[in-house]
Amino acid sequence: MAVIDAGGEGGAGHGARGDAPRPARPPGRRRRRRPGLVAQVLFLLVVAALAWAVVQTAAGNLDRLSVHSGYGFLWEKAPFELGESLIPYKAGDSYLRAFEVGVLNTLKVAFLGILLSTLLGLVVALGQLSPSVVLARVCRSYVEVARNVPLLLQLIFWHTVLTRALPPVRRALSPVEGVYLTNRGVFLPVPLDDPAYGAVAAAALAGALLAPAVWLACRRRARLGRRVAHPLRWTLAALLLPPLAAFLAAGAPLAVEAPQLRGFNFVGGLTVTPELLAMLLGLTIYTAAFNAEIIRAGILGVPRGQTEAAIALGLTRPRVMRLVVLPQALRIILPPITNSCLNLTKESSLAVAIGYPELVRVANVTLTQTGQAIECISIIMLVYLILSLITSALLNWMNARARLVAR
Amino acid sequence: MIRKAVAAGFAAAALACTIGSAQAEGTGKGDLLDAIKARGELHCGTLNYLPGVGFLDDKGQWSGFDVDFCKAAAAAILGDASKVRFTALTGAQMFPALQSGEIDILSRSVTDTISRETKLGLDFIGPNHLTGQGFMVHKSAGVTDVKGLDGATICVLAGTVTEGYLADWFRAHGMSFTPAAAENSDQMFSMYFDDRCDAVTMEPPYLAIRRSRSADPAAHVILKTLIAKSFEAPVILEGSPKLREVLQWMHWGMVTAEELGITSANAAQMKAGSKDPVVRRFLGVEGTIGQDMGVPNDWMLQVVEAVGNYGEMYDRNLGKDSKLGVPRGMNALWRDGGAMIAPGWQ
Repeated sequence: MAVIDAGGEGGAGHGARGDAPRPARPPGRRRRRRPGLVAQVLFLLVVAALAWAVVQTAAGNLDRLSVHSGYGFLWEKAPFELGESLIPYKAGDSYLRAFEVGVLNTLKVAFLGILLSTLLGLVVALGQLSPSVVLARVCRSYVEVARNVPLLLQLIFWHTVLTRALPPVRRALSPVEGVYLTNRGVFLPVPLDDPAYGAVAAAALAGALLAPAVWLACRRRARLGRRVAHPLRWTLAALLLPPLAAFLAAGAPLAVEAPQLRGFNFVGGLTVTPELLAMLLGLTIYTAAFNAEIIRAGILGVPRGQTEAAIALGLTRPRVMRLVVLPQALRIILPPITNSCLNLTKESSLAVAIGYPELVRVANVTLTQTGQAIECISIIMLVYLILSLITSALLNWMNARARLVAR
Repeated sequence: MIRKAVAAGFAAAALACTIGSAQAEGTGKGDLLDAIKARGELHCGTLNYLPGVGFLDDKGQWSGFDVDFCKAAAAAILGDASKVRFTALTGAQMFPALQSGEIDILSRSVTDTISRETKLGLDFIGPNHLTGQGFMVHKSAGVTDVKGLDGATICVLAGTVTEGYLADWFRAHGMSFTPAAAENSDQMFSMYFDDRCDAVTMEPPYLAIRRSRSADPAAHVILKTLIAKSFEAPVILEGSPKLREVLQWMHWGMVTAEELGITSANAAQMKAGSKDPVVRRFLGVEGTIGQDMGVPNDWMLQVVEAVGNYGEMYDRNLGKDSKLGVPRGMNALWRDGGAMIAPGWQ
């Protein structure tokens, strides 16, 4: 389903078409435009009339049912808690705030999911193309299994495994000091805030600004014929040394806030709930299978001659992949990967089945508390539409940058 | 091109007409009681996964307390308890299903609250089941009171009124908790028994049902404190005064039948032999109460013969004659110290 979905505007051929000069319009064509215009205006009017009829019907029926409609409820107090949140939220805050929490949780899982599934997809794609038969077969079976089991089942499977296989809080597994694995989540220590961290952050910023400058300087020297031996190493050093120096100068403050069992639960530190973990596992493993196929298709789509020529020039296999094949494959890969990312974002709504507090779950609770069904569903639709359009725009921009530039 | 546009225009016009007519049908005023009689079938929204409350078994048979209310309603209105079409609904689906007209009666242990009744345009009948919101905890946690649950993780059914009551109560007592929400009660109890949460919150009868079916019932304690009272009641849409009257008096009638000692076993006999004017009026031998309400005059006889009086219905599904054995408690008759009471049948 993921790859077939329409969308992913601007395919690989888009660039060529856009660059071609427009052919002169044949003389007879101008007159034939007008009926087209009439039809289009008529079509727009019909769509508008239909929308109006739908709104009128809904409004009339809601009025008849004496249901109060409108979005005013968003400012009322929401009488429910949500398990996890990126921003402070508690019962008694407004419904609007609850929706913000939901959207942020959706974004969190979508962002991490897209990142992880793309990386895993790349690894699996390369594995499938590897000369090692065992590795290729393992990767192949992974793809076949992961993409042919419905995502909803995978989510429920991971959630069940995580809550059933891991021990309860009082018998938590602790593989490393301060790290606890339980069926209520993974508890990790976080560094305690220290005044020196401000200086370290400033140094890191300075490093981030310095690194591109060093990179450019190396490139300029290379162009002038004075080649620097390891430009990448110098750049990395410029990036990492300032914050490291600042950190060491401050006496390397490494106090961490370790989670501690207090009362019923671990308090302090960072908690990764089983719901989030199950979502990430499910979404990543499922989508990575599709991504692996997309990437494999992209790599195989680069003519063999390119690889052979690069090898003939004496490039090593990894460098052939990195410098010759992947940049060309990217053009084939980007449009379908866009679809895949869009699907992942939308499929995160399945989280409602395992109680991860994302947008749909917030909307469902709000719906039962307030009865504002149409409003809640419209909010879900609007948010997913906006998220999808942003993702799509971003990847289209990348696609435009990656396309073949005729020189 | 023009031909295409015209065709599209016609198609759209046809679609608009369909919507228009749907609107006309939807806004048609009229009492649902008449619609049900004309249709010859009652549409009832309920549960399909809670034995004793609403359950669809492997033979396709519906049973349970909430299911019986709809069967009784069909017996009262149509004279046949089998003329019901049941639809299983989730918490998020139930009110839209009622508002859209997909079902006539929602009998799904819905809790009556003022905001639901006034803001959503609903009419609650009854209440036919009085309970509250309680907690079940692992015995090993050593908790004896709800106040001991500060900081606990609590499993809660997503999209139910219990979520709101839970948050309200903890807020009022300055305590905190982490919710672990589940989409359905099977999932919720499985999470609780796996120790994903310290406590699970629901109405005590349902907690008792699940505890009785767990691997080790002795390892779980149902706390005595109830954090909220719960009026569970069947619901219909506002705007059908006749249907509301029939259902409300049918519920009171079932309570009255228990008071009068009329059971499914002796109802026909009482109708033939009783000299008590109240019983004779109740069973439709004298007077025209049923007729005046727009249902068969012997409607209460039909109801009692189909599902029994209130006590029979409770005992068979939830009480002493069921596997659950939930005590009558508040649901006992007023004269037995409970809260079930009905206006007089004069």
